[in-house]
Amino acid sequence: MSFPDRFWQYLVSFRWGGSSLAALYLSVISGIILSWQFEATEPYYSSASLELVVPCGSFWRACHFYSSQVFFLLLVGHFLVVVLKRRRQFLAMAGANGNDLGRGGGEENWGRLYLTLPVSLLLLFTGYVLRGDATGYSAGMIGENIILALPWAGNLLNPLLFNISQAGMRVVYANHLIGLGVIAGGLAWPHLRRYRINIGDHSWLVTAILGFSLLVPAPFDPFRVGTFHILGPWFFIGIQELLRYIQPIWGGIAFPLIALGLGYQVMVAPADRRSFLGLAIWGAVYLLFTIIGLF
Amino acid sequence: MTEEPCEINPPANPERRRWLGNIGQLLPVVGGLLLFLPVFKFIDFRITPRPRLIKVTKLLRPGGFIIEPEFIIFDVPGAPVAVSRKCTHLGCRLNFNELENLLICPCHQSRFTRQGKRVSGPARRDLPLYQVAVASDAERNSFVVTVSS
Repeated sequence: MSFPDRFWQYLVSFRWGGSSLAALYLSVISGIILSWQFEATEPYYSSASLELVVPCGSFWRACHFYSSQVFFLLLVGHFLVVVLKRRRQFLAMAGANGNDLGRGGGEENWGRLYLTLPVSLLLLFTGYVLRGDATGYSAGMIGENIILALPWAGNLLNPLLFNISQAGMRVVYANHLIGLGVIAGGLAWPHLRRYRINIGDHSWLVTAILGFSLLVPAPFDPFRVGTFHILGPWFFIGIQELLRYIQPIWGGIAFPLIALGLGYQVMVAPADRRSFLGLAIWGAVYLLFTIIGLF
Repeated sequence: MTEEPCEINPPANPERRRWLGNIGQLLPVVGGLLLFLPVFKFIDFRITPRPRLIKVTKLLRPGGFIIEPEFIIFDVPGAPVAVSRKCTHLGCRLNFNELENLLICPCHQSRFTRQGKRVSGPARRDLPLYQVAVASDAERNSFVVTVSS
């Protein structure tokens, strides 16, 4: 068996979805525990207190942070492997000319499942914002101003999504704690009912996250008078950099929407070669801007 | 007895009838949109927040500055000025770089002078200035800033 084939077999055999769900369980449990002490009206003070004063606060914060990151990364991996697997199946069925194939159906509602990905990204983003530190506050303000850049709909959507300028972290917290979780859960529910996991099968992952959380505290960037460069969350750096050069409506809304549309297309129609190519080019451009932003 | 078939006259101009029918179908849509116009205009309006008075009791050295979460008070010739720390690009909190003598946005590197004038970067507008009242002129260590946005 050639190396690409062995690599592919390894990718397919890895339980991406199950591991992602196990990390999500850990994230939800640690999030519920954190909510006992977290105060959304004073997010910065609250996060700092969790980190410095509350017994085991640093551990639970780290556990929530790292399990959420792992959940999202594994979810992205799950998405990519499923899409590639379906594409290979389609191509195998129809020979080389995959573009003639129709849309994939089956038991899953792929479009609905795909939407869990952007909703999870929003969950991750609101989590960053809720830290209330220099990075979180800046990310939240950028998010709010991007939404406000939308003509007409901006003022309607902002009170539903951020509204930090007017309401502090109240709306963001409500979305993080309830709104987005309910939406993501509702979208994935038929899928989750079909595929149950045994948390014991993922004990290595749970142990690794707990161990890492014990050793490495979650990031926290205090407001400093001499801070002249802030990098947003890792998945947001590309957009942050792009916003230096182009208007928020293009860099913050149109550019991510292209990826959203292409991602949807490759999910529901895995035989569509142009969408694959488009998504790959988009990813390369985003990676480039992320690298520029990092240095 | 046989009944004679009833003859129905074809419309004089079927194309015009169809066109009028389409217009008739469009009318409720246009009417609905017109009805929503006041809703959109209502939602799109942003009420300016009520001005807030913030008292700052700190020593302002000649040529120096006092940094607060929402603004920075600069001692400039004439009277002290309070400049908003909210970047006009995407709202990040600005910091003052003493070496460059400029306010710098840590998110996208927009730069502004002590008077809030934009120098460079993606921001397009100057920073808002807030009204400053010197509460204790003799000691110059107490200010009341009217934050109006």
